[in-house]
Amino acid sequence: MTRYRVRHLTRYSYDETVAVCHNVAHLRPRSSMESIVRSYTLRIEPATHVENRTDYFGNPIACFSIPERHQAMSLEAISEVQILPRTLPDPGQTLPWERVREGLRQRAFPDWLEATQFLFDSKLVMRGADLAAFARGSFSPGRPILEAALDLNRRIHEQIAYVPRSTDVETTAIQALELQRGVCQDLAHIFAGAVRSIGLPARYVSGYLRTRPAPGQPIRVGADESHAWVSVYLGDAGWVDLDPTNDLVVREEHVLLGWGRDYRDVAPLLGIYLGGKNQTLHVEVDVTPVETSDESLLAESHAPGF
Amino acid sequence: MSSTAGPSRTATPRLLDTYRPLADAYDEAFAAPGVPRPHAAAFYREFAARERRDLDEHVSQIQAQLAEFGLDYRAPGEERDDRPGALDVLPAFLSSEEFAELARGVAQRAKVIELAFGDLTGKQELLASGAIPAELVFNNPRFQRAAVQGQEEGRKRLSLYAVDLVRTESGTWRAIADYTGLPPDLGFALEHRMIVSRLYPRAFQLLGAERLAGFFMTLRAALRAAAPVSRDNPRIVFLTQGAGSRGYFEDAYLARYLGFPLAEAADLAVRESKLFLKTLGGPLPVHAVLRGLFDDDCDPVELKGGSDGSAGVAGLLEAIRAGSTALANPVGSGLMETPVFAAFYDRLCERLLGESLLLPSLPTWWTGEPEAQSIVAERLRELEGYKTFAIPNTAPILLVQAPYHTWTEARRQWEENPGGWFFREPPTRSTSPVWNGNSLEPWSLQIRMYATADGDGFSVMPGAVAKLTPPPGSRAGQRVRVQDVWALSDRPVENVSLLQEPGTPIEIKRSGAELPSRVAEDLFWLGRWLERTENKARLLRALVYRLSGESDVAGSPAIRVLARSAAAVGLIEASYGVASFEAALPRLDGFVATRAIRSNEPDSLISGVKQCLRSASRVRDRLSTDFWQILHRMQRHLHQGASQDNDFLTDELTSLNRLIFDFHAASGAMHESGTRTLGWSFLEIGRRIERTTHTATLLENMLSGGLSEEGPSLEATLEAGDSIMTYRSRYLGQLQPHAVLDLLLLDGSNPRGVAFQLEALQRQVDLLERATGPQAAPKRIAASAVEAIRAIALDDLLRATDPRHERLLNALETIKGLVDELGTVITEIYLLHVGPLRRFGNFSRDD
Repeated sequence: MTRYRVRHLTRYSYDETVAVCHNVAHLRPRSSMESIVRSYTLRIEPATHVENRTDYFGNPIACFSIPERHQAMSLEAISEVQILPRTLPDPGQTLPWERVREGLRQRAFPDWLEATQFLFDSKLVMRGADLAAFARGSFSPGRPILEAALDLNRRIHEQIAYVPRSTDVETTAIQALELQRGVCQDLAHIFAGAVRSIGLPARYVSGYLRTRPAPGQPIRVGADESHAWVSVYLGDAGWVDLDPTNDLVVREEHVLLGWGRDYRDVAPLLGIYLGGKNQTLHVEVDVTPVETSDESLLAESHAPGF
Repeated sequence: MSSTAGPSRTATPRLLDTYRPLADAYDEAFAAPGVPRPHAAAFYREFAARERRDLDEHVSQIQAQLAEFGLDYRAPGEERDDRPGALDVLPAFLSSEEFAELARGVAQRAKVIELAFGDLTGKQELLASGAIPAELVFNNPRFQRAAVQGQEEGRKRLSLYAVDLVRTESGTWRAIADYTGLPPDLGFALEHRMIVSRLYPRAFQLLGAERLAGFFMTLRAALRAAAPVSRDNPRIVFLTQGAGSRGYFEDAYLARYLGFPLAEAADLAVRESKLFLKTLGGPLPVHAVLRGLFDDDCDPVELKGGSDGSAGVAGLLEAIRAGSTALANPVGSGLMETPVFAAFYDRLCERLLGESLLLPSLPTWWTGEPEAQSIVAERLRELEGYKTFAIPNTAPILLVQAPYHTWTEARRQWEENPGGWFFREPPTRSTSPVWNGNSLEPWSLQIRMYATADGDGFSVMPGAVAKLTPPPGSRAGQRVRVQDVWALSDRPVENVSLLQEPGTPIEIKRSGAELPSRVAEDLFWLGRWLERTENKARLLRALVYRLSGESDVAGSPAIRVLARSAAAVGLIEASYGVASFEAALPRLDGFVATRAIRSNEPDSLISGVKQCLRSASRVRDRLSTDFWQILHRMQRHLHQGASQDNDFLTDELTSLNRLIFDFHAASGAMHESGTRTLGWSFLEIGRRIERTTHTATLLENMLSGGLSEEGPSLEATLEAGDSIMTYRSRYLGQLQPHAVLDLLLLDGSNPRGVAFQLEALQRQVDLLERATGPQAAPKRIAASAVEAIRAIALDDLLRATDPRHERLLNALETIKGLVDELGTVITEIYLLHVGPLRRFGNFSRDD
């Protein structure tokens, strides 16, 4: 069991005064079966009123506007998140992937409607023949779904080059596959696009990686920025998170922020500002383990509410 | 319409006898040739007396009235081919029984769609139960996820709904399109009714046609009910896409009819989760918005995907979630326009209302479902195929009719992705008689009906808009026509007007502080352009009068003075003012007509009139119909002048005279009908600034020519300054410079003189300050200008010690400078400065 302190600082400075801005931020981690948010604060400069809501996918969002003139805006989110151990199903024992696809069509799984949300096209992840062909390289007929997904995870890691700044926020899954390179966001898009193109649901997951690896672990890619991976639907066995950028099964090094269909659904900040001309952006992300005694953890994990 | 000489009166005595309904279609008006259907019989009995030339007369009446409403207006370079179609001279009719049945069907259909909308953007039980396939929502580009969260169940009302209907061969009506996002062409429906009912006032009474006003009263009540806080008098605005967009004039018309201020997105702002109208008097809370914007365009923060954040009101969704304001229809309601949903409304009606659907769609199948696949497979050739999420208004892709598709190819494409297509039976249509300019022809008809929320259910507009398409080979070509549809009543028709609702005392308001800043800006520029253009017309008239007369020759002092002024305001080239250059130039008289009046140069007279129209069109909802009509007449007259032979300057004189009359009429309409509110102040300031500059420029050019040959140039100046009659009444024929200067410069009682303008400006600046709070700069500048003119001592200035009148010219220069500065300062303080909105950019990437 691990507990992390996440600090995510974003600062915009403008070369001219901004009169007003309106924003929606995804900066508060969402709680899930394996991830419990213990504390969270968001400090905004200039200070302003924040409405905390959840978005369509159930992610926490902060809605705020800054109605006074300003030349810089900074957002500092500090959270403590406790990661619970996950048990990975035996890949060979998972359902053949076609059975998952069929089961969804038959509405056979209790959470079929939720899973179906992540089956179709979105702005950055459109399904396509090339993506489907890419997926079939791993999803051969009758293959257990997790086995196939792990294989796809490895293939993306090996074939698609991780090249910082090689793409931008508008790059689609199909474009990234064509380019054969991208950043973690693109690798996650390719994964999601590939499995959706053969009729299987996948979520795009936004989050963080611990900055310094645990003793004995190699340094991970994407550790000092926001990170992205995918969550694959296995049917009766629920969802499993995979990180194609590092060819990892997500366990205790990743901190969940939120999920959606693609990057755009969970972008850290969506907003509009008036005035200001050009913007300069500065981002800092630190993810550090917090020492806790096992006893307190045990007590917390039995606390009501989760 | 055709201009060939019509047949003689006896050749076509009875237009109706020549009308031949098609053998294979139901005709709305005639049961058989010459036999009108009973409900329409009274109309056609009266109509039978009409002859061809009466209909020609109707056509021109319609044209004139469309012009009056501003519906024929086009901004320069703007085409309006997307209008719903030309208005036909004949109305169509629904009998009272038929209307009653249709109204029940439309109201029920609206309710089903409203309930489905509430569920799909709420609990989604219809998806969980499979009543609607999840793919048709989750993969639907019209499904706005951002609009789903936070909207409470109770608010999911459709204030306005419209449906397109066709009549099948069996005589029953079937829906072919539902409208839940914007009110499509509702303003047209109202305008068309106004026009067509005036053509047949007697028949309109006689037939007992239902009035539309009651429907609009219900709509107004529905919008009040939509406002989240229960208030006696919620502020409701009509949000339009803005001047130049399709439907802007209809929006303006409808807003005015409903009594809601017309606002563009830039007039609204969200602060602390509340929506405000930006006005000169400060921000005013807005409680409900009737929107003319598509879902995507409502809020750039959360809705629009692209990088351009210019459309919409930033933060609007947050204001709606906070419960401070409501949108009608709600954001996201465009979802229910998804055509493929038609395949499910039968089932949904049973499920949601426990009733069978009274007004079904044409049979429709989505082939993502296996049962539908097998039905369609057998009937592929006789059905229309569309892409599943085909957007209305763009031509749907007809799988089976695309010319480059063979049947095998079409089938292959469909079978490859059956979920990507839906199919429906091709619509059949009834016919209605349409006047094609020569005879009555049976055209194919579909009608659009409207409903508004009323209590728990819906009220249906007693009338409709019919859209008609010509039969193949029609003389009238392929253009679509529109007919006003009268719902007939078998009981006495109530006369209601929207102006006063019985029993509801309205709040007395006097101030105009609710004026949106953008509107103030447009009024300011309207004032400036009106005055500037009128002054130019006066100047040109004085010039043309002299050029065409016997007494003056080109190069005479009077013409030179006027030419210099005309050159100073850009009407003609500057060289015309200089004697030594004139020899090398084309004759001034020819140049005046081509360049000064009608050229596309920005300073020409016709460009000025266009600028007036452009400014006026942006504040259309605040101008009287009379005023608008006068502006239109100006443009028409100038254009008509152009189509004639222009060699004769007397023709130009006539058209300039007419133009100046029109300006007088416009001023009259403004002065006598415009309330003296803040808007008036901006219009007035604009005018006074321009008139100061004009009169001062005339005087400068009079003075700088030297006053040696005083008589003719003084007279010309007085004429261009519109003060000749006053002068003559005071001094008879004695023309002397100091008397002319006194009248045009110092006499505070002459409404054309400079002193009068400056005092008026000072008054308006004070009024603005009183209404909106202290502002030092405009006050100081206006006071300086008044001081400057009071300091002028004419006797002193005209002494021989200053033969070139330099001191007087300097004083005029100072005054012109001050009013110019005043204009700038007023713009800076009061008027709108909307910078471009920007999107937070390429940042915080997940690297």
